Amino acid sequence: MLEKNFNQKGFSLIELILALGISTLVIISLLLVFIASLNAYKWGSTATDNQYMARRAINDIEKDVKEAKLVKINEENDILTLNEGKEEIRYYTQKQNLIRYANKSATPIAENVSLLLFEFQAENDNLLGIEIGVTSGDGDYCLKAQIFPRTFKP
Amino acid sequence: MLFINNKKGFTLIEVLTSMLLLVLLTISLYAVVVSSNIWISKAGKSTRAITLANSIIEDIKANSYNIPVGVYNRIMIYESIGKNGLGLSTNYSDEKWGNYDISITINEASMANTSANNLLEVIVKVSWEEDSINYEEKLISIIARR
Repeated sequence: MLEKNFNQKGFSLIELILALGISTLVIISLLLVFIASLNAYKWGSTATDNQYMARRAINDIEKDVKEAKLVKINEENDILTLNEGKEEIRYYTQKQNLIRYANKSATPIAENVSLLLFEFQAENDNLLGIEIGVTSGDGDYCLKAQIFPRTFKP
Repeated sequence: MLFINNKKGFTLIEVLTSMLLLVLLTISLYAVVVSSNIWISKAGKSTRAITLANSIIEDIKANSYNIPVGVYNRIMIYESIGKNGLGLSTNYSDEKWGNYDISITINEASMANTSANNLLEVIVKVSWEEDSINYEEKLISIIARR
């Protein structure tokens, strides 16, 4: 009985190669699924980031424009200036960061901004159009909004 | 009997079954990631739709202070621009606004406990189709006749 339990024959070479082959196939397919899910995860997180950046930038600018007493745009349509003197707020991009300049300090409020465009729309220029494109990695998200500045005088 | 002397190991079928289970598990995890991506792109479209609806409301506040009560699509309201405070400044068909359908409903606003009678209720509906399912975002605002 003891000798039967200690079966020291082992696997044959063919068995071993077969087992290796099968496990290689399974591991490769698992790896492919893993790589695909990693890519999907990357895509998802950059897409979420881009959407968040664009939405946040539009929200911040919108809030400031609605409270502004004066709205100005430069000739290249990429710098927005609100108010005058001490209360001046500026929005512009620097090294793909959207900067909000107020009280003598510049605060970046969004990253990877590849496009920032301001323009006065409508026949009597009473609508401010904002276009923001955020590009990072292979993701790209563009958001376009327009705001009616409450700067009109009675 | 200190050690278990069972040196039989797994059979090929057992190993294959366990691997199959592992594959099933991984694939279902993958499906979770993929479906979350679908939701992310849906959320992006929703954000665009809401921004568009908000832009239209801003446009109405700026340019259309005298719209008669009724339901309008984007072409109807764009064509009547500049006529007595009625109309939008653009027809929002630009590619960057996205392929959205727009419907604007104007109602008399019924405000409880106020004597205000020059208020209009503006409902902007933005809808789009994806995989033959209709999605819709709706924004409501109140404007004054001037």
